[in-house]
Amino acid sequence: MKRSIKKILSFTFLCTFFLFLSVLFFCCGNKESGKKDELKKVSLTMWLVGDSVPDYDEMLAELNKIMERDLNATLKVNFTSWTDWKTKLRLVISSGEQVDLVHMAPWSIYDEQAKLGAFYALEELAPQYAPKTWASYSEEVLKQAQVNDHVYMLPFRYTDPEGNGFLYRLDLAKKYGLSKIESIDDLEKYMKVVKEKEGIIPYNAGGFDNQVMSESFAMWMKTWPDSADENLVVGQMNYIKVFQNDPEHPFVLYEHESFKQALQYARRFYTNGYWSKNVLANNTDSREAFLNGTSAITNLNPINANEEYRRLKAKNPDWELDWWSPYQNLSHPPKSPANNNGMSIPISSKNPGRVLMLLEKLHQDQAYADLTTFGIRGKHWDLDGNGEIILPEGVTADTTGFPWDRPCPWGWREEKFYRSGPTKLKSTWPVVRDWIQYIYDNGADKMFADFKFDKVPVEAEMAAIDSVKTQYLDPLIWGMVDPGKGYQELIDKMYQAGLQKVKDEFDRQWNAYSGNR
Amino acid sequence: MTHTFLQREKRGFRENFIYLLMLLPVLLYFFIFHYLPMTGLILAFKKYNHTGGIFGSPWVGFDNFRFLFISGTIARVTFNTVLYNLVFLITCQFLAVVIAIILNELKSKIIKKGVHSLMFLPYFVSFVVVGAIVYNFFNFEYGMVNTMLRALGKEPVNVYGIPIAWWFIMPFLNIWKWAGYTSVIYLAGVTGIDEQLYEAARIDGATIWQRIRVITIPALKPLIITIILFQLGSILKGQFELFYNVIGNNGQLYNATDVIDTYVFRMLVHNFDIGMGAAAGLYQSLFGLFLILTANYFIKKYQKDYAFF
Repeated sequence: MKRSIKKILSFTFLCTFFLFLSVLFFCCGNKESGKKDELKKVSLTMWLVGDSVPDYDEMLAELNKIMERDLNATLKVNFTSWTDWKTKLRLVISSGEQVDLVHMAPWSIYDEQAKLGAFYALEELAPQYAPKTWASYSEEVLKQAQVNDHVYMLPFRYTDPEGNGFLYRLDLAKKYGLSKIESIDDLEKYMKVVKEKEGIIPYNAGGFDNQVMSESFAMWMKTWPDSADENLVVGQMNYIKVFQNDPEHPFVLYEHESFKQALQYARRFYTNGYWSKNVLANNTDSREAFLNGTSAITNLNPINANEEYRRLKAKNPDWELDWWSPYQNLSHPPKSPANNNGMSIPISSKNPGRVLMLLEKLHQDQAYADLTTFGIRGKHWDLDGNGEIILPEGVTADTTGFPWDRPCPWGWREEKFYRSGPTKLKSTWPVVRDWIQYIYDNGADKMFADFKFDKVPVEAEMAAIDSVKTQYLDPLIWGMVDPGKGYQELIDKMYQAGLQKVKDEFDRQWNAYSGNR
Repeated sequence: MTHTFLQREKRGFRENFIYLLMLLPVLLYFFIFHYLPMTGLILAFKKYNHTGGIFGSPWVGFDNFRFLFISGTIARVTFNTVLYNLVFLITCQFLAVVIAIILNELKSKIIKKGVHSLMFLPYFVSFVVVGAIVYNFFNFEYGMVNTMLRALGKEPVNVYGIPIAWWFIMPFLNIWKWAGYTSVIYLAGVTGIDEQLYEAARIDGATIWQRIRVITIPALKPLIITIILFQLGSILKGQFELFYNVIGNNGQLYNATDVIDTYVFRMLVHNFDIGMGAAAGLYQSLFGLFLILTANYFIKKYQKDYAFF
């Protein structure tokens, strides 16, 4: 008995050993780097964020036709959908499977992954393979896209309006004798009558709303200073901010007066039932609820507000809509970073050169831009006599198989090809057009986008603070906890998790950065 | 010495060649799915980057473990995990045995099969669905419970605001899902008991309770101990789906319901640090190993025959 066990053990050991060797052998196989290729046929894979659209494959077939002709390459496109999209992106990038092109942004995971060395640096490759596009960026733009002194993305060439606002029903407000919403107090009045008279939850928040609430509520307060604010640590931890008129004093959002004030509003909204008591357990966005008439407000950025406006015009033509952005009260609202969208090439790609050639086409060839942004001409879009983009006859905004600009073509958007740009299009909702025009005229450019916080020394603390955020901040910002008690608890827990250390480290890096400016 | 050892090995190998060959698939399975992934554990001591990969990234010692202990949360979370799993283990095994015995005592075959199928059914319901059902039950505004309370003229309750309620809801959901499934194993055990024993007992005038106490329970004891031992090993894992899908982002409930899996998942979904993830996994496994060794030690002390090793 003993002997046979020994035998089995030694045999097991041998097997294990050989397997281990063979695995090592396969794992440490050679890695190809991007050398200049002679345009042999390649197939490229691209990952985009968000949801696809019904007719995407049809468009892709068209795109592949011209890509094969021009670049001898074909393209496969995958979408993350909006559920857990950041996690999915990270997995896609780190799994080692071949990915040639991925949508990246500061609001996505660009800084974090670039720091980890996930992408090809483009300073040498891009001038060679995408010369026109590369030359079109100003030094300032490239500086904003830099991480560790390298540019890891090809940014779009457009200025996104920044900041979410509230889409609401002006017809309801008027019905009960209210006028336009222009402040948080107007909003409260509106929610009150909706709750009392209409019997629906005024702001039926959930899902996506949970992600933006803790960062934006403080800005809706009247006490929020009239200056453009900037997030100094992008990514998940965007609670260290600075006002452009006071660069000496970066601050933690949760310690700002407006934040404390917001908690009072939140508590009132919660107690009065202006959002669901179970808002944190609800997975349905207010955007969807608003469309279905089960919410009277939704929190959206202006581009999305315009899109919902178009859809609702087709679906419920009797609704009168309006949009209020808390930023409207600022004399110089902040603009988005110049690299607010862009495309990066993961190091798992074997053909970075060809990928850049494709990007050059997407940036410089109108046919590529039209296809990926608006779909197939004649089916999803057309031009009217004035050269303005319209829906073809028989297609409506809520039934089209390819809603314009939806399936994430944002990474290569060019102002010159952006036919549906809200300031260009006559059919844009005037509310949104005026607002965007206002930002273009008065908006403040990012001043500190080239400051990249090095998280490594305080990584553990930041992870611990993040966990405090979900546990203590979310219930507080949704008013579920009495701020009289809950606020101090939040702050205590954050310092326990190491907020002081993060602040010290931040100050050190910030002072070094300010000294060099 | 070495010479004879090798010779012996060679002979033994030839003699048992077929058996060893039959063992190969299992060994392969264990190697590929259980031992090979352990290589990844070195990531717990590294700062992962894409250029270096698993083997080339720089070493950082115990830095990755720091985040677990920094805020003291890990103590509470470990406590929750152990306590919940103990409660799950005890309630679920106990009920499974009871169900098995009752089913065995039932005379009508149709009722027996029917009851059993009904109890087995929840096993097939995914926790995502369970989470949605629970939400629709306890939703403050439109939930079933509150709609009923309102109809009866009572004040609605915000269950998602009462952490203590979940100490009972979670074990209940766990039983609902697993008791029927686990009872199958015990049912097999019960049916395996020699019918003659019962007959003899009946002739001696034993009541149904006496029969269960003196024959069924002792006969099931080895089975119960083995299953409990197996379950103890995973006391720090498991049930992630239950907690994740039912509790989700409800920070208010975390003090009462946060377990290691959900805590680690949340932290890493936000930060996605592979090193920290590996560190948390290692902590969890070592704690599990410690638990199972302790349990085994005590069983060896008191019931030597039932111990694993």
